[in-house]
Amino acid sequence: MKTKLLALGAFLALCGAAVFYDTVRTPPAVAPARTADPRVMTPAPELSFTTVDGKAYTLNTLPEKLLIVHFWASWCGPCVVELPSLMKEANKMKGAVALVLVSVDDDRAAMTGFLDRLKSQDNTGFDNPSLYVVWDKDKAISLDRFGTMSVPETVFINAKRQMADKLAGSVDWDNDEIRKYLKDLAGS
Amino acid sequence: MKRPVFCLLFLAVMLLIFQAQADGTSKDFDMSGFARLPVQDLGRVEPMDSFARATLATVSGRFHIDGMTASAWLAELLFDPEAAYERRSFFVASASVRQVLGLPDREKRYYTFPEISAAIARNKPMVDALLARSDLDPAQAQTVALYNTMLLYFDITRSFSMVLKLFVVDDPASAKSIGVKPGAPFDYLAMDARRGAYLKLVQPLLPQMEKEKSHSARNAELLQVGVLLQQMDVDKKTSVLRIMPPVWKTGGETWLSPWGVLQEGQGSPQGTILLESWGRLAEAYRAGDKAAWQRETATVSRQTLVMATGHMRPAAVEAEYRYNRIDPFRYSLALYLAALGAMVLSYKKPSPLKRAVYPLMVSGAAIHAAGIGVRMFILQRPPVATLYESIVFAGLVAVLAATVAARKGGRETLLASGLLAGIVLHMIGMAYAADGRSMGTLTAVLNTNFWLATHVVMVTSGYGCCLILGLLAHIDLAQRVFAPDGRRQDSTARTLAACSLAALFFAATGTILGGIWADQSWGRFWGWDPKENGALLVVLWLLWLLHGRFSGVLKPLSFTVCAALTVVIVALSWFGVNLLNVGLHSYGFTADIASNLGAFIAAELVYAGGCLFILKQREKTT
Repeated sequence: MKTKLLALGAFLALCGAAVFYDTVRTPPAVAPARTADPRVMTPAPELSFTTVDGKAYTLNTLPEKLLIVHFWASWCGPCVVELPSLMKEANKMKGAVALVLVSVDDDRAAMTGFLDRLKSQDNTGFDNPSLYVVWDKDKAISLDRFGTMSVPETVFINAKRQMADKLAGSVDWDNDEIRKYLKDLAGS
Repeated sequence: MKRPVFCLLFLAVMLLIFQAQADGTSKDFDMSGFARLPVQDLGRVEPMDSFARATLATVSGRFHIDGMTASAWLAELLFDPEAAYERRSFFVASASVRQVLGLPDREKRYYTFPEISAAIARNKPMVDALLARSDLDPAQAQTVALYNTMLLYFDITRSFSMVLKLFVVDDPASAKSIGVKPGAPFDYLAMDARRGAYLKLVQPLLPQMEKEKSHSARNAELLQVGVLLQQMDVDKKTSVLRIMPPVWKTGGETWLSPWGVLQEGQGSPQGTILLESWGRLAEAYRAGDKAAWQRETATVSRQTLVMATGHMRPAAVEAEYRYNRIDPFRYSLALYLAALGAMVLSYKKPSPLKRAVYPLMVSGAAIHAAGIGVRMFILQRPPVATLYESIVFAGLVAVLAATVAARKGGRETLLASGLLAGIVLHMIGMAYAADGRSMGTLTAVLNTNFWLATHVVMVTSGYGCCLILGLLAHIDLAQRVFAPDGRRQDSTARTLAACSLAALFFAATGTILGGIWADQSWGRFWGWDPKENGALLVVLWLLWLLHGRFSGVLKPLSFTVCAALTVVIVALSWFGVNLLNVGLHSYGFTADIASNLGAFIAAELVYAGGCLFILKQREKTT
């Protein structure tokens, strides 16, 4: 009988201790809203491309630390709205950040026509040496290599040439949070 | 004594191993690799086999069809939909549903997808009206369920349409304009990339095409491409088969369907490579190339596991696949039935079978416990978190309690009670698991392993002890009626009191722990919630029973009759309160059991009342 009472007492004490622990324990910290995710660390694809001005590059050998690969089209409303602010932000970080604009337009003339109009309205960003404009004929880069079917989408590749993050949909590039995010990515 | 035990255990192990190695095939393909591929369903990553079983159970109400395993059936559905459409997979049980939809009467009541979709299409206005309503009678609810099953089935058949090479342009001029090789099949993704070129080619031809009575071969081919492109644009909405692990943090822990990845902006270089592998797997199936099927299954598996690092436990997926193949509770049920059979055949006579009862029961309990253990490993949670799990666990508690208690006397009746509880609860559990989704994810309030391990296990153990108490009382009543024996009845009365005490300990502790959990989750210890009231009802019943017994208010016969009715109180607390559909314990709600529960209670009242009447009459005459 004594043993049974002891066992019962021990069981109740254990329950009490667990309830106490569950009550006083600190809840796990919630991760910040936008930071580079350590789990996405697969290598960026080996990819060669030619810009609209005819220069050939390899994505992973570009000199900039951070690569922003942005998929867009001249017929896409949100793309057209966000493109100038993206170019301005990239221009502020030129040398450290490469902006690879990949157009999925079916018609090359539609893309160049839009860029020419943009250049005439606001020249900011076009003289950026770290700007690479690519026409993705047949979606060989966007769909076949990056799995991008909808635009706009933006992929970030870090200094180690690993896939750091991706933002699907339009982004407000003119804001402090995104600037800090880009700086963090460029520094990582 | 030792030899039969070893023989039985050896036999059981051999059966399990043999079963684990037997895999279903389709077109002579080895499905073992495909069945192990991970997929996310209802928030949980599981082997394709589990997904296939649940889907086939939804469509056909069973886990095998036409000699095919669920995985083989799913592979056909995914990679050869044309053949799948010919198979009578849809089971329509209700005669009124068949009549309303105009489905032909058939002995086996199985129908093909075209038959079901045509019937739904014929009755679209009625189905639409039903979809807008919430007050449906059973036949109407089954019609809506059939409609949803049809959508689910179709969604799955279109999962890989973008990587199936269904497009072909033979005309050299058209092929050149679009940018493809003439005569070479290509997939939707390649076509979508050339959509602009296609439209540029076709748009000028449209006025001429509209005037043509019969199209030229070239125009007909171009129109066919356009129709196929339009049809596949609809497939973008498919979302059921979630085989693509999340790559980006914006994707969270949600896996996506192949189309979903592209539609929700979750595409990635790894995902593109994985999709290409799935495309090759589909081609291998369609071409009947077994070597390529094996190779591509391994490739898809390897690539998925790399992509899913940190998002799944490969060992758990493998364990679940093996658990599905073995189905351990089938074996524990068979051993319990064998033990009960041996007990019945050797009743009141010396027989070697009598010696086999205990080993058979213990072997069954070992497999029963192992099955629960494997589920705990797979689900990473304590043994009881859902209604199904509570049924399976209570069965084990009842068997173990009877086995342990039988060592102290009353051996046969206790073992019989334990076996009956184990068998009945196995059967109820199998009915609950018939939808193939016995490993569901938990609602947030339940997702705490500490409370699941304490409160829920205690309450369920209480149910198990109550069942032993009730069944023991049933057997005792039967013995009093058919074979009165004063000495044995006294011994059983002591056992009944001991069982009541054990049940009260578990039920009362579990209920108090539940109150503490409720205080932490909902901010109050007690809220007169139906489930809480149900738990309290069991505690109060047992307290009343024991007080009556010890104070002498309840005579031995009355105590036994009330003990037999404990199963009614437990059934009301366990299942009955779920019928109310009110309260915070919404995770336990079930429907369609009211009539079964009512019949059970009526039968119990008739049995207990009948026994009481007969025994009282006998007392009067003697």
